[in-house]
Formats: sequence, C-alpha cells, structure tokens
Amino acid sequence: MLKLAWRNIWRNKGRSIITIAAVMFCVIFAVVLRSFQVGVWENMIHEIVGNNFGYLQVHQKGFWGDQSLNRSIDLSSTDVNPVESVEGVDRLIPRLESFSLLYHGSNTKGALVMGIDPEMELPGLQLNDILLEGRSFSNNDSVIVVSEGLATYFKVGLGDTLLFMGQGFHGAAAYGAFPIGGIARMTNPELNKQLVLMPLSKAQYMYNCENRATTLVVAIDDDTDYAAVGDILKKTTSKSLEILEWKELFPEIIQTIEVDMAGGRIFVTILYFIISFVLLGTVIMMVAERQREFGILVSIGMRRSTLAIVTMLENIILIMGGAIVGMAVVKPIQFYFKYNPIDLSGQMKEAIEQYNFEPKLYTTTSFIINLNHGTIIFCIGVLVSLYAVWKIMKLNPIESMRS
Amino acid sequence: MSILKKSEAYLRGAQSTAEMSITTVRPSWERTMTAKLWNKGTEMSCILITGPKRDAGTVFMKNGEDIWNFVPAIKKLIALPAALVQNWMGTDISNDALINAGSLTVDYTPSVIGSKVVSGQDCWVLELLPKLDAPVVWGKVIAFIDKATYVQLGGEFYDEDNFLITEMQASELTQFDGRKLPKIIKMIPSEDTESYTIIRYVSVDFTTPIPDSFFTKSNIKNVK
Repeated sequence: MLKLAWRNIWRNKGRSIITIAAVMFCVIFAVVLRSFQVGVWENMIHEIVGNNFGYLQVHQKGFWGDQSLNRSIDLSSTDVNPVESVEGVDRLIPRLESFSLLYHGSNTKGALVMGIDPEMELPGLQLNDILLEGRSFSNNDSVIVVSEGLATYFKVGLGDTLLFMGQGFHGAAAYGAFPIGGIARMTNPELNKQLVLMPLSKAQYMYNCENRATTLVVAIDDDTDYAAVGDILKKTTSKSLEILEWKELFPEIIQTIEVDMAGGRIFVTILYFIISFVLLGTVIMMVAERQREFGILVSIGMRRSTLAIVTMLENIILIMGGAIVGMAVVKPIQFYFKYNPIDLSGQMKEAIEQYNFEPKLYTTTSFIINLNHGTIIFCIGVLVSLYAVWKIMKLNPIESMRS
Repeated sequence: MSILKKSEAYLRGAQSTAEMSITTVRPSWERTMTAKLWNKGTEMSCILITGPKRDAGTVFMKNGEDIWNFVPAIKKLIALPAALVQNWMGTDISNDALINAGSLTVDYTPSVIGSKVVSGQDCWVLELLPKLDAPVVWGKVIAFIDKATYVQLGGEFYDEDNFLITEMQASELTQFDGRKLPKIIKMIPSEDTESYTIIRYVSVDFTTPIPDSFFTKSNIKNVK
C-alpha cells in the first residue's frame, strides 16, 4: 500500500508539489513569526539581563527585598570560595549599588550609583565598549562615568564635577564630589537615564561601606546553563547569602514576556486557522480531481477502506515532506536575522524604547520552534486529510465516474 | 524659674564647650564618632564632627531659627528645616534633640505630673506638651529631673499618637568644670532592643567665653 501511495505521488507531480509548497510556506510563516517574537526576547534578556545584571546574583540574605546598604555583604568576613569553585562559575563581580541625589549648579536629580571594578565587569559594563566620550577608570581613579541621559539632563561634559548627597551604611552621611571622566551609553534604556558608574573603592568610601558589596554578580562560563549553576549554588551556598536567578530578580520582565507571548499565541492561532483552510483547499482540490479515479478503483473492486488508507498515506508523506522542507528552508532566514536584526526607526523605535527594550528585531535560532510548528502543521494537515477519507467512504462509484 | 529652665541653665551655663564621643550600636555593627559641641544661651549651638576621617569637618550650626549643615566633602552649606524628624548622622539621636536642644523650654509647656526615683535620685516627673504652632518633632516629652541638682536623668519622647519613640537615660554623674553632670547619655529607640546610641562626655568647659560671631554662617567653615 505504501508503494501504491508513493507511486500516486509521482503520478501527478504538479499536484504533489502544490501540496508540499502549501505546507512548506505555512511552516515558514509560522516559524518566522514565532522566531522573531522569541528572538526579540532572547536578545533582550541576553543584552539587558545577561550583560548588565548577570543571570545569577549573590546577595546578603534579605537584600533584594530591602535593598538597603545595611544588608550589604561584608567581603572580609564572608567566604565566597564555595561559590567561586562551583563548576561553570567564571568569577564573582563585586558591585556596590545605591542611590544618591546628584547636584550640579541648581539642578538636582536622583541617580542610581554603581561602584564597579571595571576590569572584572560583564560585557554590558565594559567601559571601553560603551563610552561615547572620555575614558574609563581604574579602581584607584577618582572620576566617574555618567550615562548619556544624566549628562544631557545636567548639560555637563567631561571635567565637570557632580555632587553626591545620600545615605550610607547605617545612616552615615554619604557625600562626595567627583569629576566626570566619561559619558557612556547603556544598552538598557532605563539605566541610560540614571546610572552613575564609579570606581568600587570610591563608592565604598563614600557610602561608608569599606570592604563591602551589595551584589556579587556570578559570571558564568560561556555555553554554561545558568539555571543548572544556580541550582547547585542554591544548594551549596551558606545560609547567610541568597542566590537569585534573573527571573527572581526581575519578575516584571517575565510578566512582560508572558503577556507578549500570549498576544503572540493569539496571532499564531489566527495564522493556524488560515493555514488550516489553505490545506483544506488543497485536499478538496485533490479529491475533486480524483473523483473519477476513485470511482473506477472502487467499481473494479478496491475496498473503500484500502483506498482511504492509501490516500491518507499519500497525504501524510506529502505533508511531512512539506513540513521538513519548511523547517529546513526557514533555518537560514532565522540565522540571517539573528545576526542582521531589523532596525526599527521612527515612532516605532521611540515606542519600544519607552518600554526599555532595544529597538531591534532579532530572531531565535532555537530548533524547538521549528519542530513545534512543523509538528503542529503536520497534525493540522493530517486532520484536514480526513476530509478525503470521509469523501472516499461515502463515495458513490457510478455518480463519481459520471462527473 | 521653672524646674525645666533651671535644669537647662544648669546643664548649659551661660555658654559651654564640650567634647564627646558618640557610639552607635547595632546588632552586628557599631561606629564611634567624636565631636565638639558649643552652646550659648538657648538660641545658639554648633557641633563639629572631629572623627572619623571621612566625616571630620562636618558642622551643624543653629542660630535662632536658622540651622545650617556644612559638608566638607562637597564644600556645601545646606540649610536644614527647624524640625527634622530624621535621626542625626545615623545615630539614635534626633536632629531636633542635638541641634535644637534649647527649644524644649521655648516650644513646650511643662507641667509637673509627679515624682519618681530614677538612678537612685528622687526626681520630678515633667510632662512637656508642645505649644500651638511650635515647629517641633515630638507630640509629648516626659522628663525626669533630679530634685536636688536639677540634672535631667531621663526622658521619654513620644510621637503625636502617643507612641514611645526614644528613651533617654543619663548616668555616671561626674564633675565637669565645677558642675556635676551625667557623663553618659544613652538614647534607646523603642522599636529595636539591640540598638542604641551612647554619648560620652570627655570634657565640658563652662568658663571660656564664646563670641556671638562664632555662630554665624560665615564662620561655619572655620569652626575648629
């Protein structure tokens, strides 16, 4: 029977190609659509979370809920070796994060102050890569790097001094005056509006937090699954520390993704309806074309069920072929847009930047999406093919031969 | 003269210069600052932080209704409001108690509500209620004043809802420049039993005169 089905496919190449093409394009559309959606998020998480905040962070227990300097980690008394020695952990990056009121002339603005050791930092905070002008600092320098948005707000340039007024460890006064050594553009638009980077040692002094850090960012080796490392860390780390994954650190991102994904799923569902009718169309066409053939076969003694199975097999082969070709053909498209994202411009760009996302459309190259949608379309195809089975089972040979 | 005024007059004299250390204690941490304090009458006072280094040179000055804070790290003079609820420099001492101390007799109406033995001394119990429109932090202050010496040995500070916020305990009466004064003053916030702040007087000088010009905005950067 398989042989019969195979021969039937080759008997009418045009019809087979149309069916394969229909399935193929359906797969391509669905996969491209989903790839962009997932890809944009993947990229955003990598850029904003992975490169700026790290996928995993270590804090003193309770810090994330309170975010007070009083809950910073005492680096002199805390043993971080157990964390550093876990497989997949590259290094721990100390940061001191707090807030301060900035002064320049008669302008004031609240800012997020981050004390960093630039040599150890993640790619998103590699000063040399993000500086628009000026220079980077080393841990002993006494200059700061301000984000583009702050520099614009204060109308300041290199060499101007910003005054800091804030509260340090256990309520100590945290005042400081630092000249601007550089202006940087942060990939995270929210940070780009309010971040000040200063040498870790200077931040520690200003906030009266000598030898302390609010956060230890866990830098993980390339190609390592952060979730697996996180699981090990959560089991092994001492009780005085908390290990948080980015999903716990920034649940709002997850929520935003979920909302967006739900919207995407509705869109894909509509697409599937359209796809179903396209496929149904090809099946109806096929059945109509072969009315006479079916009629003859049944009248010369072929059992209807056998005929139905053969037709079904034909369709399954065609749809499967279409799905596989579609999954393969879409792969280069996915790769192309991953490395050459679509740059948005104009109003769309502004709208997206307001939501703190990079205004670029990336694709994902994850094969799961191809497989998922290939399978879904295959199933739709098989369901739709049942129309042919139904037609064959209630076939009236005489009438169909006359038609 | 009322008990409260006698007590304050005894504590301050016409003018006084004091050196002290202020230790803030938290469950797993403590910090000590050293400071110098000048007083003249009820209207003029000035505090200079002399240590640790990162805070040294910080000055708080009150003259009449003006309160100034000079921060050497940013070379800035900051005007503070008359009634500051915040605590002073991360201690358990309210800004009000330290800088604006003279205002107890000015802004509150005292009445004797009883007697009590505090630290072995027979004390008056005074209830101080703020005058209408007075720029004050507390809703009620209870003061325990030694009947014999007029030294204030204790105090309780309540907010406007009558909740106890901070308790003050004075101890170790010691001779300073001819007057017997508590050497140690302990401020205990009521919400946290393991936290407190201790002021230890090192020396008090009631004799050296201080000119009025000392307590001026233009002098604030020269205070030593």
